[in-house]
Amino acid sequence: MSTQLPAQESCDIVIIGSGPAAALYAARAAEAGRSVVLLEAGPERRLEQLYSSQLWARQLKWGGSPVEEQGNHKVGHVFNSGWGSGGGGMHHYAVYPRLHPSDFSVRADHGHGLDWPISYAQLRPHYDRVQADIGISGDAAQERWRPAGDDYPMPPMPLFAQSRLIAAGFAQRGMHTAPLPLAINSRPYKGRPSCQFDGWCDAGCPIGALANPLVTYLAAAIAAGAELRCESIVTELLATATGQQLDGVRYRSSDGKLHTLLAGQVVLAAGTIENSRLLLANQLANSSGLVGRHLMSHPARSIYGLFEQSAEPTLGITGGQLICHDRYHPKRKADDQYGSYQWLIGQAMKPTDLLGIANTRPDITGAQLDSFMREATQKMGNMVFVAEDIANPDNRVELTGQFDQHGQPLARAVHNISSQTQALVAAATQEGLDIFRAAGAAEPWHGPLIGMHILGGTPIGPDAANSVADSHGRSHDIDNLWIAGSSLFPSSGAVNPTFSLLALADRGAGALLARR
Amino acid sequence: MSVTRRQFIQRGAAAAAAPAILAAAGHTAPSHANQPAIAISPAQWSLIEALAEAIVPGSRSAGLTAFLQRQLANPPEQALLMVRYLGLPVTPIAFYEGLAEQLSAVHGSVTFDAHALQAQMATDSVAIWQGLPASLYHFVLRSDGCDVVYGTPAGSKLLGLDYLAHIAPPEFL
Repeated sequence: MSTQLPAQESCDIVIIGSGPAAALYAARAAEAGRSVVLLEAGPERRLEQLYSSQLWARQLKWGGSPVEEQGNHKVGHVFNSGWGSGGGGMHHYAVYPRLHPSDFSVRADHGHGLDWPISYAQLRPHYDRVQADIGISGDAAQERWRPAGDDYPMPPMPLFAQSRLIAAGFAQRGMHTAPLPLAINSRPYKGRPSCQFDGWCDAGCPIGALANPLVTYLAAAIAAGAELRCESIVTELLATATGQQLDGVRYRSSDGKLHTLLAGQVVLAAGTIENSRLLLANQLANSSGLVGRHLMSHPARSIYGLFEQSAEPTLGITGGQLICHDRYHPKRKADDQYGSYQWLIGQAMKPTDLLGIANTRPDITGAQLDSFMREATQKMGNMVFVAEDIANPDNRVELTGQFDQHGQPLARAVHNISSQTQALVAAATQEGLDIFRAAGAAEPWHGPLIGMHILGGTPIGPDAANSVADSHGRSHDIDNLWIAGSSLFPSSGAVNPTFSLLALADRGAGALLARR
Repeated sequence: MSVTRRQFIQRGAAAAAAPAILAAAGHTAPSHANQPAIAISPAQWSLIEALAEAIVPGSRSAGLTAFLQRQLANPPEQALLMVRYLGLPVTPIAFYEGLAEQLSAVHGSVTFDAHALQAQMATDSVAIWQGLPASLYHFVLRSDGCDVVYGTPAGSKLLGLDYLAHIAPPEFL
């Protein structure tokens, strides 16, 4: 392995990562005429390699150096992170609800976690712009809880049998459902085709109906002249002597060679754990002492049931077909319970995989297994709650003291949920089982509590006393370092984060490009 | 010993605690380069195959052993195995070598009854079991077995489902 450095290159903006936030920054910057290089640690992904298979889809998950996990609610780093161009956006389910205004002021209102330094009203134009860019299907009028925003550019997806069955259970309990807002085309949109409802979203959607980065911002960035370098692992952030500026980055290419890339601006968009790990490993941008802190993950649990009639569980959208935010407010639901939660209803399930039909009943083996599979693949329904996590400085990314084969420090993610969150998810679980019984499922059951999405670690805030970056994602300490992704979230809300991180990236990219 | 569904699901959740268990046991981070040889003997593969067949009937004829051998020969980030998904701080090879070692120990101490053993593994009640929890091995082997039986176009056909591929997956055997 050579450590000899080649001649230095330079560009206006180097972006670490190529997931949704990185790709948006790249598109905006390249379209503004800046020279942009994206450094992606994993391999290049191409649409024609996105096989319709839950087995092959596993290659889209994190494949870099291992992350040790601890706590009573692990963040599930491999499952929740991406590897290769497009990052986690390649296997995201494109469920795009907005944060609620109340999510921005949880500390002021309830004394929990951290507040955002901006309001929903300040982020709204960026939600609307991203929505128009990539296309979202849904029915804003039916989302009685929806924050202010432009109408969706596409009508909602059609419903399949399981969602109609489960919706009846919600209605019996006086609850409301609405079509799930999805960054998936219900009709052709900006040259991308309509969804075929075959349930392969998790495998990357090779037809381009789902707004994965390869067909949205990454494609736009490359078309505008941005350069994507895959299998390029950033090893060092190159700080000036004062530590208040970055000269660029050093990275290792697949042949083992080290390269230096100078840049006027550096965008760190490598994923929640990696963002913190890189800053900690380089001992940068941490005057607050908060890098890695306030790590969050949405507690989530699936409810399952078998119906008497066909439920078509393998068809539709991996992320679901309906949504319910009736339990988003109030956040303080009881003396011992705190947090919002949403129901996502009618996920398309394939026969196998971690979230597949077979693993909903790991106790069934032997001759009974085949009978179960034949019945469940026809008659199963399912839904999942996604609950709010409370930002807690003890939940953190830290360095383990171990190193990978290239000498890079390894990370540990420590995450526990509070007793108030545990009480919340216990109540939500019971509610879900009751809804399924009301819907006609005779013996509903639930899965384990899992970590869905990874957030926090480099929270935005008004100053370095309580945050790592400003409201645009720019480091308080380093003038030309911009952080992007859900690592910036001071609070988690109870919604899938990709739409919000894109809105935040759109706001940050605007601020970056306004500087010269 | 019987196990209720609720107990088993709770154990499945407990399997997520495996990284901490492994860390405490002194396992270290894997190297992704230069895949080592797989130290599993033909006799041990036969034990794994028999156990899998007891858990997921049809996995033997669907080619589970060949699937595992081929996937273990890949770099970990390219493996299509359930163990990769779980983010355990051991390589897939080390994981399956651990299973093989335990099955050999069981085989050497008692009459090897795959059906009885799989039930005991599900409840972590195998008397001489050491290392990672038996229920974790059970979960992973069951998942891999289900993948080869039901997770393919042929498996969908077996279940009476249209596979509906956008792009048909390559054969993995």
